[in-house]
Amino acid sequence: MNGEKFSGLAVAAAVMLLVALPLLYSATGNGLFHKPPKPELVLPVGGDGKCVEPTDFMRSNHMKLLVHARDRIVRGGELLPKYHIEGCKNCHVKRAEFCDRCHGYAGVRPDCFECHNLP
Amino acid sequence: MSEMDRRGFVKAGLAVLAGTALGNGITLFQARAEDGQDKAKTRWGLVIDANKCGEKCSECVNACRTENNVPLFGDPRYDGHWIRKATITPENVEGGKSTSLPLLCNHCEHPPCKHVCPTAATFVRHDGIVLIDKHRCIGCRYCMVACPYKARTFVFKNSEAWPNPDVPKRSKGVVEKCTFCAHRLDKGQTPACVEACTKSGEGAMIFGNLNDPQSEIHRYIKENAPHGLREDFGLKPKVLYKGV
Repeated sequence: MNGEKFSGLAVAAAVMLLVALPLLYSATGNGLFHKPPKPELVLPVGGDGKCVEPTDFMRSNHMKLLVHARDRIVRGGELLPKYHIEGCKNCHVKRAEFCDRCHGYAGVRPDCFECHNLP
Repeated sequence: MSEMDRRGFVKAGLAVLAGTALGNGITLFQARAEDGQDKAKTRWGLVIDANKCGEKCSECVNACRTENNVPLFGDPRYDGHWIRKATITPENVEGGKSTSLPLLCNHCEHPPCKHVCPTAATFVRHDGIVLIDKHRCIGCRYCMVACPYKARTFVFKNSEAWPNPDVPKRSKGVVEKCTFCAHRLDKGQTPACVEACTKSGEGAMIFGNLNDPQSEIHRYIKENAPHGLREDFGLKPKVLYKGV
């Protein structure tokens, strides 16, 4: 009888511990409930401080612009489109301090940089 | 009908067929995108004078490698080739003179590589250059089989070297080939191989607009009648050779 009670308590304790573990872990600065700090971007130098479109629009849509421009340039043979991955590096000088920080934060791995050189 | 030869008759027959409507808005076949290149404003072409091409000279190959980041791993299984030198020695001829010539993509008017591409990654640009959209290429290598000039190579490995950062590399798993330096043409320059050939003093390459009657290449073709390699394939190559 006693043994059964003891085992019931032990199970309850184990369940509680299991529930508490992720919370405890996140309290240390990691884990499920922890939000990583917002990426710190080094803003571009050069240009007139303005991107080709407003910042908010670019933040969520730059990849769409690049894909459409890609088709227009590669297949259509357009020479000087407004949006162009090679044009980005006129202002965004360092990829590691701009592109990579947000991409890392969002967990996306675009394969642009396998072929296009943004230092 | 007396003036219509066999080819003309077949063409006329095809034209009638092309207009044949199978149903509402469905025709039997449509004109190919690469047709009508002889009427375009620009149609880039290259003439190579094999008599002037030095057997030991490989300036064009080196210039291409540097300009277009064509990978060289030191292992012939993986090396990329956009332009390569070949030497032809006549067999069964006593003291036959061997000929040296560069081989590259012929930018055919009817490219078989384009026709077999399942994703339409290979296409013909408005100025007649045959290009690969590497974003669309799935690396199936049908085009490498289809090309009779063996102008295409497969990218087996990502290369570390990036001699010309302004020009994109290719990531592994796509097919690459000569682009006639389309990025340089757009800037008003000539291809890297032609520039190197002129600089080295060989002067074996003449590049220009085939559709411009005033151009040097147009005049050269008129006077010297160079011909493409294996013209019997009927692919209408735009790289022509003199003295082969």
